[in-house]
Amino acid sequence: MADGQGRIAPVIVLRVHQAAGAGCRVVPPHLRRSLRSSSEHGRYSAQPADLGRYAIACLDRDHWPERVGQHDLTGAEWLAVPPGGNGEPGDREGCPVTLSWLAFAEGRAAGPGTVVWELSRLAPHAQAAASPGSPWGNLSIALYSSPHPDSSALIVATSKDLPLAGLRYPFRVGADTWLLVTASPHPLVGALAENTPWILLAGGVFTAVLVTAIVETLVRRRKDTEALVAQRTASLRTAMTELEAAQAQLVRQERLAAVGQLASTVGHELRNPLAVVSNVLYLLEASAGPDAAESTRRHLATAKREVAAATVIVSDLLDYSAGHAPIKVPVPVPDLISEVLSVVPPPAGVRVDREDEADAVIDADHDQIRQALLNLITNAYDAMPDGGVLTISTAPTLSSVQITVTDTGEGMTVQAQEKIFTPFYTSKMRGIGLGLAVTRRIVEAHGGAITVHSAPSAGSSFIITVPAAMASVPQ
Amino acid sequence: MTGSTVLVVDDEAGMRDTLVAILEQTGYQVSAAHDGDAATRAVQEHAFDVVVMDIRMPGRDGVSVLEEMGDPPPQVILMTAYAQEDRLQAAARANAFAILHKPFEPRRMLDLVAGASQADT
Repeated sequence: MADGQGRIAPVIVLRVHQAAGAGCRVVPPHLRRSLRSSSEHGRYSAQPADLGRYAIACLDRDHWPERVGQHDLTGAEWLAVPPGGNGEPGDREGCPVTLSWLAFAEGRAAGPGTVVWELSRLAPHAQAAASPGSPWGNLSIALYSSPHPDSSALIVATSKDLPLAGLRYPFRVGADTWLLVTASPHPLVGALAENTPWILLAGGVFTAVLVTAIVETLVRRRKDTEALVAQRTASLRTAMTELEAAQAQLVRQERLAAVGQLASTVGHELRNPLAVVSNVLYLLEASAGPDAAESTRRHLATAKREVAAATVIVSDLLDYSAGHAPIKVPVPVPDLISEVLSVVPPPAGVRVDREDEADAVIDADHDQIRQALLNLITNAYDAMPDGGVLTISTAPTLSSVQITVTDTGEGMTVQAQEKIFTPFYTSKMRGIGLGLAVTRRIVEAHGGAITVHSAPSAGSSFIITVPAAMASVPQ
Repeated sequence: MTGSTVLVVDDEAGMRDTLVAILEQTGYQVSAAHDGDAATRAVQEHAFDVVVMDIRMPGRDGVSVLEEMGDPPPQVILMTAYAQEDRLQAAARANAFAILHKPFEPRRMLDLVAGASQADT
């Protein structure tokens, strides 16, 4: 009854009724030896090497049920009953009495030919063996007829028919009737039961590893999620910043458009009054004559200068709002500079040095370039509140004319130079910050360029380059 | 030049009067009209050497008046308060002696009138 793993199936042997002298025999040879050496009749204490592997139960009437039933058998204790005949074990080999542990129960005759077998009659550990979840899964009941259990074995129930309690099996109860209940270890369940500590340990380790892995995964996912959230948040912030910048740009453009429209309207309406005032000043100056009082001449000069400043502002507003394409004609640069200087004569304390090239003629919109030069020259005046030198030079090149307006004023930082061409940027107490923006747009509309060289306390030079008229281009 | 006849046409009285005064002070014989129709009538009745006229006026504008000037037409200097080139200015540029953008230096106006009267003679 050894299973595939070399273990011996437990057998529960019940003797319902046995004639005196009948008995079972020990099968495994090494246990025969153990039994022979046993000093106590009917009882064998298992050796450590035997524990859990073999047991022997062969009971005669004297030992059963009282003695056995009173004896609480455990896995560490073995019970053996030697044969009542010649006392020699082994002569009835094949008796399925090997056990790893033993349990006894009582079978009793309920009537002729019937044995009532009840689970509750089993010893507690036999009951445990028959219970669900026990490693001893394959319980069977066999009825044996005397004299030899092997000769008339009848398997009447197997584990699938269990529970054993209340089973009724018809058989003849006679002098030599045996009731054999066997329990075979379930291969898998038995192995699980034997290795339970290791399984529990492995399960614990596996569970710990699994829990650790899950926790690590959760932590990693949380970190990943947090990183993703941070990334999305950064993206949202960037998008918000871009959106705000775009909105600010839009608002600024709308503001500029509104300002442009307003400037256009106001500019047109101011031009006529300015022209009238300019005419009146001319008439007053003429009527005052060359012998006019000094204070009269000074007041007239102040009024003319202010009208000129207002004219520049209005022109800047109109130029900025209109931004029309230049209508180009040949424009002699020295004449243009003279005209501008007549419109905006230098204030007291400012000397004008001119370094003209007489043949410098540009291909330009007269009024637009005049406006550009007006802006540069009035800016130069404003940069020299305590007086200084304004130098205007022209330098014809192969295909263009370079006009440089240099002052000896306060100069600019690099940061200021980066902003001066921005519309509505101004560092002056007076003005609307359109002069240089308009100047650059005019020059660039002509296909030219404007640059600035400046340093704090070292004055500024604005250089505009405008294409030369074809006739003035050196051959 | 001096002694030439000039017609000043502008619907703005301040502008018209000051231009007349400046031109008279310089020695021109100056007449004035306050709109396009009056200018047309004046040109038909008298032969002016030079006309100094605003482009935008109520009723007939300066360009349409210019197109109906007599034969030979006088030299016309058109004035405008508009910086942007539009249809009127484009037409004026084609037919006028010069275009003056308001506000302008009276001296420049006088230079142009002198040039126009010389071209006429």
